[in-house]
Amino acid sequence: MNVLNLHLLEKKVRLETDWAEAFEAMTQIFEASLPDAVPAAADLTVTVAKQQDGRGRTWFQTHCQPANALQGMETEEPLSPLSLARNLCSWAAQQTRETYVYHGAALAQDDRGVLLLGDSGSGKTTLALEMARRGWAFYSDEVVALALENRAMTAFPRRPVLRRDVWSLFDPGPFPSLPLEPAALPNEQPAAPLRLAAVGAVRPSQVAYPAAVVFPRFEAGAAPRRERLDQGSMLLAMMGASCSQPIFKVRGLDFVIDIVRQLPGYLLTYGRGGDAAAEISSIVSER
Amino acid sequence: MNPLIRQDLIFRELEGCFVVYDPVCDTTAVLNVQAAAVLDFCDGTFNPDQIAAELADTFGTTAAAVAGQVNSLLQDFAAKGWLQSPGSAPVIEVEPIS
Repeated sequence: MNVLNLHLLEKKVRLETDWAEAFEAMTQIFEASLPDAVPAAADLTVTVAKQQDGRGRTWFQTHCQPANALQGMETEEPLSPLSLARNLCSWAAQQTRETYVYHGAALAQDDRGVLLLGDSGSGKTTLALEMARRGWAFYSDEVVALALENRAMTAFPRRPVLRRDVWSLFDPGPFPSLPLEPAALPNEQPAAPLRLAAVGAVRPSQVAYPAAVVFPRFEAGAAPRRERLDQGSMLLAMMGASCSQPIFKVRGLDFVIDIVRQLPGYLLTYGRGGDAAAEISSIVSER
Repeated sequence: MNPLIRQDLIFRELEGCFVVYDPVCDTTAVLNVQAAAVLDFCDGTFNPDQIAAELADTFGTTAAAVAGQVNSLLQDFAAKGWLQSPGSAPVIEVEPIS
């Protein structure tokens, strides 16, 4: 049994799991979270139990203590460790704050933020890193939590992981503002992902609000082009990236609808991270 | 059988479209104005022929021109579980539009 005390927002999270991969994924996400924001709060224990039903299907059940903190989180097999960790992040965020959680990236300049939402492989992490080295505050490349009350973004910094073939998409040159681990880059197996050092240091007092929602789509060699989404398309795309809808139901729907009515949404096709970052800067500056 | 929409479905309006949220399945769908108009007539008082006639009147076309789409939409609504009646809408024969 692995046990680790993790600092999560206002809570201190004690994670117990017999599932090493989930533990590792969870650790990656939370290891750089916000120690300064942690008061001497009650411990929260998260237990992930591996179950098998009569038909041989494997699934994972998550329990949290204190009791009734979680009404059971039963997940269907197969569920990747990262997906489980994401679910736990989502749940924990909603327990500790009134937050709505997306699978996506978030960055900000001053108090004006942007959400990058999309499926895995759409280029969220690539874009987020490219924007971070251009001076944007890095909130997350994986889990975006927005306060239900006012849409304030909550930081979920972690150590981003990049596919090796994605690395070449970055504009050449060093990453002066990012504490990357150069030793992780060369002389590794070609297929091994690149695990980067923690990015950014957004403090709890640093508040930003999304000014636009961007759905990146990588297309090799493509010049950057943006397409404004109509409200219906934007709503469906945002619901597809939602981690919280099953919990918040109608309240969650209305939260998303409010965003769709007030913020512009763009489909951004790009072939180079630098071009896309510049385009996103333009989008946000227009707001 | 006259189609009747489930009373627990949640509706919201956006620019140029309507959102239907099914709280049981936790699914969201977006309908254009025409599809939403069909759904609006699913109150148990109109049969598919009458819905087609009403829509034709609203959108300035003929019932025959929209009957096929109405029938298809009603089948979609039934497949999504939005209709209280389990019966599927009757098939409407429509002349091809040249």
